[in-house]
Amino acid sequence: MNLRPIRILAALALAVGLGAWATAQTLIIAQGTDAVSLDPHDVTDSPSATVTSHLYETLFELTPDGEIVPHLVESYEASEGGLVYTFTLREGVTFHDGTPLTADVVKGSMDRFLDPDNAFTFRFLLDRVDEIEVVDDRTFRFHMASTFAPLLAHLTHSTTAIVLPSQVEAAGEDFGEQPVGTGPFQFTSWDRGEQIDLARYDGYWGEHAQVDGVRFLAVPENTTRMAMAESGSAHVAVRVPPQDIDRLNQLSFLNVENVSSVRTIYIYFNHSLELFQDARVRQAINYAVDKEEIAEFITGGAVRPSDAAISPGVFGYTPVGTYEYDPERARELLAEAGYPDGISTTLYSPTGRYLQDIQIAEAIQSQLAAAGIVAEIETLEWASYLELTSRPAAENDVPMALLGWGTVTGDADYGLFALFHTSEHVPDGSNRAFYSNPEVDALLDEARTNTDPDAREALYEEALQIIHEDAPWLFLHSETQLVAVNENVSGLVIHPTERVLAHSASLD
Amino acid sequence: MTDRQKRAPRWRRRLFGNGLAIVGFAIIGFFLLFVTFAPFLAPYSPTHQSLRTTYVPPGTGVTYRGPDGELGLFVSPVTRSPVGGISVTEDEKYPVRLFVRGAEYEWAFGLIRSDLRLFGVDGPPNVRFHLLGTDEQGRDLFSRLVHGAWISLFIGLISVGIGVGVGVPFGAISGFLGGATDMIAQRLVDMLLAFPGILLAIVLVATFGTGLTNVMIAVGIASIPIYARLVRGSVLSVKNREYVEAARAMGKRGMPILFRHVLPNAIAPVIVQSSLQMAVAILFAAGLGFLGLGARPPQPEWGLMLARGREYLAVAPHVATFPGLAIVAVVLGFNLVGDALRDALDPRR
Repeated sequence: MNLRPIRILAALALAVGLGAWATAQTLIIAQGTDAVSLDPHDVTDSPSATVTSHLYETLFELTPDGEIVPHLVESYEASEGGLVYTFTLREGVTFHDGTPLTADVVKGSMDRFLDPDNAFTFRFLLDRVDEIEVVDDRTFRFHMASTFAPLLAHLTHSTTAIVLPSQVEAAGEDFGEQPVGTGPFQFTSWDRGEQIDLARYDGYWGEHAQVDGVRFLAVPENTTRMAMAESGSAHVAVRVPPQDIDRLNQLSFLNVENVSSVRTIYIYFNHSLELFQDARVRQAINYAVDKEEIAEFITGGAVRPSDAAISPGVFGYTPVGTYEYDPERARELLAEAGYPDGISTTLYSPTGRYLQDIQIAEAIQSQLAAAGIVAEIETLEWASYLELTSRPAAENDVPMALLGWGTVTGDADYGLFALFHTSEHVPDGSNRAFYSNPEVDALLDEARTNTDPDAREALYEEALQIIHEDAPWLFLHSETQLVAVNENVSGLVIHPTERVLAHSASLD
Repeated sequence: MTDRQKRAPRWRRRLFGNGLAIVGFAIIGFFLLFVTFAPFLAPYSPTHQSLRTTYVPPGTGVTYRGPDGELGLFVSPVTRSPVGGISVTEDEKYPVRLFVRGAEYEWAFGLIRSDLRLFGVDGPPNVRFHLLGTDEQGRDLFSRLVHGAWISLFIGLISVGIGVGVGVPFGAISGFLGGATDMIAQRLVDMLLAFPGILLAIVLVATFGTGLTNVMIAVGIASIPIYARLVRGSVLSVKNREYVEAARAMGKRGMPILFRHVLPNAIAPVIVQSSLQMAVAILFAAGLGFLGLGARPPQPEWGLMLARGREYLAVAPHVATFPGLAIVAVVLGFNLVGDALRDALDPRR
């Protein structure tokens, strides 16, 4: 039997296969966790938001420099008094299935997001919107219940992205796995816990993506993720552990990008417990922890010790001061509060969710011990961690827990209202500390509705000052995003809102 | 009687004539030494952190010649700069000496107070000699391993104790009474045996909460069915022997026969199993610690240390390697001794 033709055929097939593989450029991004859902309205975590940001688009966009620019809308106009906003949609925008974007679609999408029955976590972002009115195909109006200063900032949040109501209906419960958006990439496949594949959408209205596709890998293990970057099996790897920065930077083909983030890391005190109702106890704990040393030596200088409850780069941020490390002062305050022999409590910490989280918790434990505060560390898996910390006050016995909050709208309202306003106590909001101060509430309410930016800034400064003195948190630091990027990648955007965007990325 | 006198030395000869058994006994001997004299052998507290000397590899800053060129073991101050490099102040050198005074410690539940340590640096307290380097919080790895030995032994003893304490009477009564009791009891054991031990332990810890106490109980419960099945078998083989018949003939009934005459003659396999089970318990506990279900930080539990050190494998392999080696050694030790005991106590040999 003559095998030669078969061999030639096989060689040809291999060559064609390799050729196709070489020309189809897929950017591979290794994330720490898999997406939870691809329904943008339902997404609350940044790894999911990273993926939905490639598939869906919002009416406005927050540039990496913190500027709010129109995106799906072409222009907008606010009425005198700020109670009616009129938006005009961009022309030629189509969904991945060919459906054009119209004002009706926007209304359908917004109505879904705002429907209280759907109970989306971030509904509060737009809850001041009373009604959406369709004027014509490209024009629609927001009728506001009251003036609402952060409206445009909130319309940049990836959760307010425009979805296709007909697809929501068609897909039913599977909508989170069958996304159809207007973004530069369209959905190909999702192998849960492993990878998500996206392909370039050739009917995109704006500048087309340069790569043929993007693949998001879910690699929870830090060492594995870094090994993938080193071996070249991923082009981008997020969350580089600080101890690996030097080693990776020494490799000629890798760069560790250091981009600031709007994520603030803190440990909150549960105010529903008697121990933490005394501000002196909360302040004492703030004095007992050396934030500088942790920032420098545990995170290798990759974080910035907090001097306010929100991060620089967020509108409304003003440095209001820090609690300098002073274990003696901590002991004094505890004694004044009636605990001369110190206190003992429990500190909850996630593992692997934030940069060096458990290492930071252990360092804090040891520093607290030096000031007479005994803290047991309790770690839980992430989903149960969130569940346990967001129980109503009566069932909530978590005294202190480490968490992070990314103010991804770039506006202080999102960072402060959700975490400190009395109406936002868990389980309905995100105020897990059960912090409640009428003064702060009034300032935050006022800053929401006042439309003068200077006045808002002043209001937030005052609120931040009171929050600093009340010390409802152990203020820690704001994070930096450390992302390992292969040198053959260009045009990649590492957004301060903790999203890696491949919209204009290319591979050589 | 003469037969018996001959057998004792043979039993011993078999046990100690085996080279591997000697290795096993030596490992366990060292292990027990560590447990007994932990704070004396460990130069530092296992939880004393120093963020300025994180994951320093063993041997950093150690020299064999002193400031004047004399031979000996000397250490220089070591600090890690925030950007990652380690700097050694070479012009300062302090000798490492035996029997130095260090920080005061309490041992044996507060009965012993002392500040004497086997070895340490004769110099300022911030200059430290790290035999096996430091971990990611700047804690002395050797001190943590030594103190961790106590946790491992304790877990092993308690869980084997639970297994023996519940499993042996359960199996013995089941085998001795026979009939319906035996039937029901053994189906219960079947149910427990259907789960792999580690899985059963994970389920129990996940249900009742994490922490060392629960790990000990969970691992103990997971070993109950093994003992129950084992003892039932040997009780069955013993309960119809002539001396049991004789006891019956003398008018003894029920439980006294079981505990006076049957059980003592059926206990040898339990001794073998307990030695092997110690190894299993230590391994399970380390596994649970590794998964974050066992010991809580900053406890120097070996599995937890291994899990934490894994993150630093690329830059500081020693942080994960030494706890891993410690687990391997102790598990190997108990297994070798268990094997040797089994061979020595095997009546067929």
